[in-house]
Amino acid sequence: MTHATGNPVWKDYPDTSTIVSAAKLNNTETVLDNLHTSEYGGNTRTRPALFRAFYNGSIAVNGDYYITTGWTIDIDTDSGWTVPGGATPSYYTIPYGGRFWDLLISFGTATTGANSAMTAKIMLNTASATTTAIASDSRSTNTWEGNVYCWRPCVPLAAADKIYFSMWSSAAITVAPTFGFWYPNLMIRDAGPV
Amino acid sequence: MTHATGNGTWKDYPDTTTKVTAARLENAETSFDRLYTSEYAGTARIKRAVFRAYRPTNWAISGDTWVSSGWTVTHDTDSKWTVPGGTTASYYTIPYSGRVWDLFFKFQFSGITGNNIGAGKINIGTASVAQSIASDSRFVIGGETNVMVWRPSVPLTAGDKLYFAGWCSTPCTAATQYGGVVSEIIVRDVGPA
Repeated sequence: MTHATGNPVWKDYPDTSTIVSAAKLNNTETVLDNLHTSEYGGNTRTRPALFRAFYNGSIAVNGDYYITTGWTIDIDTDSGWTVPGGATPSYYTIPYGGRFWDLLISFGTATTGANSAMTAKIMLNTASATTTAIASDSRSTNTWEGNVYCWRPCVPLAAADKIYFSMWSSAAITVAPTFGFWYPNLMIRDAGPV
Repeated sequence: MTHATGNGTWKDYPDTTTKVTAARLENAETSFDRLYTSEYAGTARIKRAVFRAYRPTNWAISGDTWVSSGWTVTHDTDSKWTVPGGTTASYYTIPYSGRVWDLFFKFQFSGITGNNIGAGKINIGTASVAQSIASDSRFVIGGETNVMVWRPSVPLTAGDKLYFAGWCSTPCTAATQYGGVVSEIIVRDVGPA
């Protein structure tokens, strides 16, 4: 049998005829490097990048609303979240290249506009919901609760790419935690090697 | 401490009483093999299967409309996307068994108003919406409509064929919107079943 290392079956050591070669030992190191890189994004890392944030308050949305301040960072393994402050959009900086990324913004509201719509966008490098979006979701609404789930999995991104988020509603709505613990939330995660 | 290999703590070598046994070394190899199989679906693979394709041009949907030709494949690790051509439904063939798969199919359109419905399906085996294993539908009042069929962690078998269909209650045109929101298909291995 040949193992993932490429090594044949081992013998007992010490052995008078077969050495423990550097090549065989390096083969084992290489498969560990491969696994670390595949699983974590690099052989000096111990976990893949993950960013999660949620909003524990109320946001008035009527038209475009870019994610800015006031979000609670739950997990940010690589400190990738930047908050310029005020009304300037916040963004996540992709920490390393060569990977796929899962992207999500989701939010709900208990009351929506009659015959209205609510949407979300995820944007690349520039915060412009109409020209730089790479993911979108929309829901038609009619006074009852509304939930937007803007999800795009497996997106190949480069190191230093910036990810922005926005919401939009055709009628005035209040985005806030609903039904207990359904918070507006953001998520970006490394989904493996390209 | 017992390691994932099953080995106990190692000693310094050379040692006068304890050999570096083949069994211990094989335990380490077997542990690597298991990780490779879990991570890549086999000891001879170096990455999991991923398929991604998008529609670079408008996609006219009228009744059940199958994904056929005209889609650009950006990633297909195992070369499993088959395009018979014309309007014959294209399909992805699952390359190996024993795994669970994330399935994603998204398209979006505008210009339809007034109580219509857009829907999408992912079908197994044959190009028939009666063979659906994932579905989404969106009520249309106006403005943009995003149909997103998403079913994660589906156990599938080598040779299973996946087809993708759009539908709208009135003819519509799916298109790239807002810069880079594309109609897209993703099939990815997400680990052992």
